[in-house]
Order: sequence, then structure tokens, then C-alpha cells
Amino acid sequence: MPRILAQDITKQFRSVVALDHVSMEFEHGKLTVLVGPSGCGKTTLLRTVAGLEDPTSGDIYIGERRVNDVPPWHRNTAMVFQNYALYPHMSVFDNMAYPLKARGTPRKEIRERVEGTARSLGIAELLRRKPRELSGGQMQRVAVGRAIVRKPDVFLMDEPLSNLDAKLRVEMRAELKRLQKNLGVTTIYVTHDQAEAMTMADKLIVMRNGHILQAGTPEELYLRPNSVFVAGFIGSPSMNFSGCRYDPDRGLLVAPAFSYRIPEQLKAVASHSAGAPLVLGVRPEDVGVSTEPQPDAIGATVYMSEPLGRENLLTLEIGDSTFKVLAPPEILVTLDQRVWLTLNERRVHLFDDATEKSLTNTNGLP
Amino acid sequence: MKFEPREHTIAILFLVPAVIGLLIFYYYPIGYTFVLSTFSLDHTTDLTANAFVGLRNYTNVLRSGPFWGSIRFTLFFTVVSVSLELSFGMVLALATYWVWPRLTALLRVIIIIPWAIPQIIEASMWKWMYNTDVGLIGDLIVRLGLTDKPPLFLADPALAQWSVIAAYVWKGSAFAAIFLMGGLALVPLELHDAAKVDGARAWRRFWTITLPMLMPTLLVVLLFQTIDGIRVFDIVYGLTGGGPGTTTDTLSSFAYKYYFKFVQYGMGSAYAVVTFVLVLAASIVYIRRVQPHFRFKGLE
Amino acid sequence: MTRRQRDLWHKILSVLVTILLAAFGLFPLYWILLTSFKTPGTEFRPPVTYWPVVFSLEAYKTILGPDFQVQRAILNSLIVSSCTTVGTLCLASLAAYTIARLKFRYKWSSLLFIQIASMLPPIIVIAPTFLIIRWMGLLGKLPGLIIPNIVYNIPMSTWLVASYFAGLPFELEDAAKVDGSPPLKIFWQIMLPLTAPGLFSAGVIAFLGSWGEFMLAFTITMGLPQVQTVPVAILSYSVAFMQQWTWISAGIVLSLIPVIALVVIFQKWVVRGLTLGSAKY
Repeated sequence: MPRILAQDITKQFRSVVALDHVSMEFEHGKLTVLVGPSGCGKTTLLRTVAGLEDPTSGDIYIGERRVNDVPPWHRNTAMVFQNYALYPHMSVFDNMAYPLKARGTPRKEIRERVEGTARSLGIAELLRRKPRELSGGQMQRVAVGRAIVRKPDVFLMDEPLSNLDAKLRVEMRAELKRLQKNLGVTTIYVTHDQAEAMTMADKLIVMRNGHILQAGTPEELYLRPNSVFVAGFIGSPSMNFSGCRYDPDRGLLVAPAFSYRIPEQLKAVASHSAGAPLVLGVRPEDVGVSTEPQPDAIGATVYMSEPLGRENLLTLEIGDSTFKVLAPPEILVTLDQRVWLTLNERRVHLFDDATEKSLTNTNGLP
Repeated sequence: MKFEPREHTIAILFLVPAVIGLLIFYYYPIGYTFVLSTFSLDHTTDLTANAFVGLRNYTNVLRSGPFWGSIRFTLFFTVVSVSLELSFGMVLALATYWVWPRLTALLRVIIIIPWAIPQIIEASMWKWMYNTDVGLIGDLIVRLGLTDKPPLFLADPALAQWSVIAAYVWKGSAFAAIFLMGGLALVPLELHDAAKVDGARAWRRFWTITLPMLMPTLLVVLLFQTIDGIRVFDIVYGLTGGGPGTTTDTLSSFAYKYYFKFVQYGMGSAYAVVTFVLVLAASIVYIRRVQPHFRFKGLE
Repeated sequence: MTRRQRDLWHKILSVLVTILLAAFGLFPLYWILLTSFKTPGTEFRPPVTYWPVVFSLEAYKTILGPDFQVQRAILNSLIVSSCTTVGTLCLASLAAYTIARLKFRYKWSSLLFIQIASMLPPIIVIAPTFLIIRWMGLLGKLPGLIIPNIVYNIPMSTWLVASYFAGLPFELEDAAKVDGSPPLKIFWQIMLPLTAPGLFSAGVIAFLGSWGEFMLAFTITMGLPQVQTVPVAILSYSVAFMQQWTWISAGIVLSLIPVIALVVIFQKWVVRGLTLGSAKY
């Protein structure tokens, strides 16, 4: 089962540059997720690997073979589409049999493999039905079935779960992940949903405007984002940001609404930036809330409290800025109450305001 | 289904003009033609002159050799034309999709133009092109070395039929192509992507995906073209006038001659009725066979 | 073969195919155009040429001159087709709205009533129509052509506009009803403007249809050159002046200018209109 290599891929549609000199290796047997906002180029990259798009420049390798000139039907990739793309005039059986028929597989073998795959996906009783008679979840399984029935080298999935309702989506995530692990097929998975990306990825790639911003394991991207965008994109609720400057004499990061004693490990990088505008970032789950004043704490006013069950999401106002904090349910607050925030020192991030890059985590940055 | 009286009244009011128009210029004339066919009307349309002959006109019709000739030709004409039109039309429609995108609009205009030309004018054009001495077609055939002398396209009985068919198909293919272009647009692009990845090359994709999904449109085109074929008039009248003799007479042209050349309103009506019945039969067959599959959105 | 090479071949073949199809589709036009520029009388002299030896506008002068006045026929056609289009759109939009949107017991039957009419051969109605027009005193007059043509185009236009109406969301009318608008106002101010594209397509098709209509025009105009429409006029030239093909060609060329211009400009509407009818199936 080969790995996939995209080398310096640029794709230009008329005046729009969808991919800008993108290079990436998709490891063999792993589930790599491409995530990012609409228009970031993730689907374009996927389609380029499939052969449905032709790169303006750059090379694609599947295994050791350069496949730029190989048409999609010879690349031995399988694709699951967002809208499933099931052939409406064919039965489920014929849909799943299509790729096998296209390759001239003998009829008996087709039947065995389709029925076997259908059974493993729990859709065996649907084989005679037409797509329009199926529910969303069932159609999705048929689409997956069509992809796996031929044992391809690569799975390509373009937001396969986006059209399902929330609960089904969560279920199917787990199932797809398990399926991929069992089959061990190199998979590229595209989604715009960061939660989905985090749960499914062996390796996670964040894209924006045709560039790869950062690639790594979900934990790496969560703990060590290399830019404001990645930091804000990964994790929900998103990271809190506040503009600030470093005051080396007093050892403080000075923001419009508050001052914060800079953690030791950030002192070095902060002094390098010598007074340039910075961005302070801290996740809602990395902020402690107290109803009593604390030393070195930041004062804030409660704007809103949303109980989420296992925790409360507090929206706080510090001066003109808004901070979101996840607090344990025991801490009860009322509107407009004054509270004090302590930041988890090891989870505080500093970014350069101009370049939006992290000062500490420079992995994956050009 | 509950409906407010007011809306009901409005509905009727809105429909009335169209319905009245259709009654006056379609349904009443049809009925009247039926009536006329039972009379013997030589250069007159006065029914009171006691010329009722019942079905005698029809027996004359059935006994008339030229009539059977015109039925034979009409059917032959229709079958051949429709087959050719659908085939060429399909190729044309596919071409507009296959071709380099910048050329698609140009190709579309090229295809629409033949459709827009009035059939009778097209007939005149082809008449000139079929001219034996200096016509384009004859000249091309000689230059290609197929014969030494340009054939008599319109005077040779065997050839004339094919000449008429060719001229008709030229325009009919364009019509079919336009419809099929629309039908092709309905096939989601994603299906083609899926099929490509599944391993299907263009030929297989056409037969297993495009064509089946084109069925509804194809059937509609089939219906229209068949009906148009059976009731064809303009091209025949303009190109050969039914000649030589009556070899290229179709039902409509034959009937028209009886009406306005021989001025036999009774016989002409009888022929018209026969044409009508044939077209009706074709429509009913189509509606019975095919209509159940289709529902008009918004009426449910 | 590399992708690049394949793309290049694709482009080259595309151009070739287009040229080929253009040749096939337009050669009759070219031939007529060519003939129209030949000096009258020379069109019968062999050898057959594909490019004018002598470029002459004689034919045009003749056909526009007092004997033929093809411009009169063109004007007649313009009048007839324009009036027909307006009339048809009025009647058809009303009927289409009823069928597509209003709650009405006889919807399906109305649709059937209207559609069946379009399937019938003109020959079955020509004689009585002739009698009716004669009875109305409109024989040999343009209104005698316009009125039946309006009716002939109703089925197609209704179908087109109805499928367009059917595609609009239902909430529009509900919102207007809740706002208290009477149904007539809803139709006039809200629904009709929204179907503008459908009306446009139907209009173009009705225009072209009535322009090319022959049997009725031929019968009604009865050899009166002043009221002949283009199709009848052209045919009369080739019948009366059998072999003057340069003149006939010039007439054809002139008469096709409005048609082709219309089609080129409105090709999008034409395709959309013709296929919308079947696409909604």
C-alpha cells in the first residue's frame, strides 16, 4: 500500500490560484485529514490526487509511480463524495458492482465481493433498492461500499459526512476510522469541521488560501499551533486572543484591558521582538476562574454564562475585549459579577501581530 | 383538496381566454373537419346543398393508390428521419460538451441556426442546392468522384424521397440536439467524476451513465419528432410539391392538394382526418407507455 | 501521452470538429449567400464556383425593388410575429399561473386540454380555420394571421411558463397572502416579474414559431403580395419566377437577417426554453 506524494503542486483556475506550491507526503496506511475553511484548496488537492484535476505545475506520485499523466481510471484510487454521487438509475448492487464491472471482473466474483462488502457494512438487505429509496446514512454506506469493494490503493474522501445529521455524523466518524484501520488503506480525508478532523486524523493538515499552514498530529496542532489562524481554527470553543506588548522592565505583557505577568519560558522570545505588537493567546479551557481576587489574576466581568452540563461556558468582558472561559460547574456566577482569571502558564501562546506566526512554535512554517 | 371560492373563480377567469382561443381555432375546426369529411364538396363549402355522403369519401380514400403511397412514404419518412435525427442530434449535443469550453457557445449557435430557419425557406434553399445542373450537392458528388453526372435529386422518384429526408433531417437534427443539450446538462457532473474514479472510460460512461440518465429527454424528443414527422408539410410542399407525381407526398401535403388545388373540401377533410387519427394514435401510445414515469412538479 | 499533449490534441480536434460542424450546419446558408451575390443569370453557367467571380448587388436591388419588395414581406412578418408574441404571452402566462400555482380542481385536465392541441397536425384545422377567418372578414388581412397564430403558440408557451412558475418557491405567495394581497395583485406584481426569464424564452420561441409558420399564412394571404409574410413571399418568388435564383437567394438572405440576429443574441433563452419544457419531467 503506497504512500502519496504531492510535490510543489500549483493549480490555477483562470485568475484564481487554488493551490500555491503545495508539497506534502501522505503516509502509507495512515488517515491524513485536510482541514480548512471553504476555498482553502483542500478539495482541489484531493481531486488532483484522484486525477480529476490536472495540476498547473508540480508532480503527484502514488507509490513510486508518477501519475500526472495517468487518467483517473488507471490510478486505482477510490473516492467518496460529499453528495455520495450514487448512480440514481442503478440499484445498490449495481452501484457497488460498477467499479468491478469496469475492470472486467467475472460476474461470480463481483457478486461475492459486493455481497460480502454489503454485509460488512450492514446494508446487505438494501442491495435491490435504488438510491432514491435510501436514507442519508444508508446512501453514505453504499458510497463507502462502492469505494472499498475494489480494494484500491488509496481512499479519497471529500466531506463524506457533511450531509448527515449531527448524531449520525458522530457515529459514522468512528465507523470510518475503524474501517480505515482495519483495511490499512492510505486515506486522504477532507473536511471543514475541525472536531471531525481532530477525532479522525492520524495526521492533520490545516490549509488556507491554497497553502498548507501546519501539518502534524492533532495533539501537536492543538498544543503547539504555529500561527494565529491554526490556533484559532483548532479547538472549540476557539482560543482567546488579545493584542499586547512586552514591557521588559516590568516583565509584563501589556494589553489594552489588562496586564499579565509573562511566564518564564516566554521571556526570551518576547524580548527578541523588542516592543513589537504581539498577540496573546490562551484557550478557554486553560483559564481558571475564581470569585475571589487572586494574586496576578486578571479582573473580568461576567457577560453571559451558558451551562453545558459538564462545564459552564462563561463569556467575560475585560475592558473592551471578550474572553471565553470554560469553568467547572461548581463555580456559580451571576451576570455582571466580578471574577478573577488565572492563565495556565504552560498553555499561553505568543504570536507576532504582523506575521501572525507563533513565536515559540515554528514547526511547519516556511 | 380545499380551495377558496375566490381563488377558484380567479383560476377560471385566467384560463378562459386561452380556452376560448383553443376552442375556436383548434377544437371546433377539428370537429368541423370531421363533419366536412362526410360531405361531397366540390368547390363549395355549403353544407346545405344536400351533399351528405356519409363514409363514401373514406372508401374513396382507402381505394386511392396515391393515398396508400402517401401513407407508406409518411411512415417511411418518419421512421428514417427520427432515427437519423436522434443519432445526429446526440452526436451534436455530445460535441458541445466535449469540445474545448471556449468553443461551446459558438457550437451552440451553429446548431441553433438551422432550427430557426423557417422550414419552407429551408425547402427553397435545398431546392436550389439540389439543382441538377449547377447545384451544390450535385457538384460536390461529382467532385468527390462518386458519379460523373449530377443525379436528378428531385426528379428521380427513388432519389427524391431521400432528398426530402436529407433536407428535413438537416433541420431536425438541430432540434433534437438542442433538446439533448438540455438533457445532458441535467446529468450531474459528480456522477462523471465518480465513474471516472471507478474506472470507467468515456465510452463506458456514455452507455452506462449518460444514456440512461438521458432517457426522459430522449423520450420527449422521440415524441415530438415522431409527431412532427407524421404531420410534415412545409418541406415537402416547398421542395417537391409532393412530386415527382406523388412519390414524395406525405399525408398532409396530399390532403392540402385536395383542399386547395382540387378544391375538394370533402375529400381533403377525409384525408386530414386520417392524418389526425394517425398522429393521435402515436400520441396515445406514447402517453400510455411513458407518461406514468413523469410528473409535473407543482401540481401535487 | 502526457496530459499536456492530450490537452493540445483536444484543442486541435475541437477546432476541427467545430469547423466541420459549422460547414455542415451552415453550408446551405453560405450557398444562398454566394448565389445572392452573383449577377442574375450567371448562376446557371457552369462551372460551379464556390467564391463569387463577380460580386454583384443586382439581385438585391431587384428583390428590394418595386416588383418584389421583399422588405414589405419582412415588415409583415415582423408585425405578425410581434403581435403574436405579445398576445400569446398574455394568454399563456395567465393559463400557466393557474395550472402551476392556483388551487383548482381541473388543473390536470386543463393542462391536457391545452397540450393535446399542440400535438395535432395543422392540416386538420386548416379548412375550417380558413372558413372562420373568411367569415370574420379577415381574409387577406394581417389580423387574420395574428389571431390564429396566437392560439397556435399557446400550448408551447403555457408549458414553458408553467414549468417556470412551478420552479418558484411556494412561500412567496403565502407571504403575500399573509400580507393581505388579493390574488390578482399577487400575480401581477410578484409572480409575473419573477418569471421574466421564462416569459422571455417563451416569447422568443413564439416569435420564431410564428415567423416560420407557413400553412396558415399561405392559405390566408391568398396570393396577395401586400400581406404576405416572409415564408409565403419567398415561396411565391420561386414559384412565379422559377429560375431567378439570385433574386430568390437575395430575398432569403434579407429575410433571414432578423431571424439569425434574434437567435444569436438570445441563444441562451432559446436553449433554456426548449429544454426547460422537457427538463422538468
